[in-house]
Amino acid sequence: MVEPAPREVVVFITVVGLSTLALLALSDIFLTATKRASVGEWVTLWAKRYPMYALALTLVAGGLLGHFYFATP
Amino acid sequence: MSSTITPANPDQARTEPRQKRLVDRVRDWRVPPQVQGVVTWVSVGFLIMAFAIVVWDMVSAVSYIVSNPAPPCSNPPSLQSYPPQLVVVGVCLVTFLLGHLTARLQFIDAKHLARHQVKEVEHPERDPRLREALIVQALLLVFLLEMIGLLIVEALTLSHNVWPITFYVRCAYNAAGVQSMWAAASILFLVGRWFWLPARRNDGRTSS
Repeated sequence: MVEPAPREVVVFITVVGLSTLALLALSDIFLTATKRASVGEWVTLWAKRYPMYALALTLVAGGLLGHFYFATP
Repeated sequence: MSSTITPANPDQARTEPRQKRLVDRVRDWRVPPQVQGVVTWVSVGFLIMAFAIVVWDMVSAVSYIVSNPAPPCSNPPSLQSYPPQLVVVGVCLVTFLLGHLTARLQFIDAKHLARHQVKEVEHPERDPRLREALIVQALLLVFLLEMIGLLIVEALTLSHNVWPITFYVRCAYNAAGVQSMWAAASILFLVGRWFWLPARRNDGRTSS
């Protein structure tokens, strides 16, 4: 049977993963309130410039999200 | 009523605008200028809610882990909780769509987009977008390093009979279903805003 990981590791992953999202959301709030191009605009512009790189990253990130959130018995 | 196009009046056929398909009319619909400010502040409101929920979940998770030696669920974590999984998926899909809509209808000042429309310059160091490009590349580097870290952790945990990250997601859902649902919904709202965006024209409006 698998055992829970050490607490320090869990805290580290929780803080790193969620604080990145929170920081990006905070910058999106600032960009939206000042009517500037939002985070999504930057992503779109970058993906248009490097489409193959964007495709590869999307596949990896999509695979990771599916792995973490798609619970199976 | 539109007049019949015959070979006798070809000029009229050229000038008469073609009827747009319904789907194009829906996609090309613009927010009236009078309510653009309202849409912006609605977007900001949803973003503040998503930010608050993510921070709330992070603080809750860390405080529980620090103050309790054991996880708040069974081993392995059960897949059954309240609300049911299909409800969670439905709420996440709605917030994903909401994120896209807020980004699509959001007003962007055209002067801020003009910088992106410049042609290639002779030397990269003279490109006016240099500072922004460096910020984007730095963020990309952070994102890639985090992904590498997550992959290493996942590989190590799976090979050492330790709970993988998936189990912690299940555990959170099992122990605090409603809170986890709103956390997932907030993340999907942000994903919908950032990764599902229509192209914008030079005047800052979205185009289909």
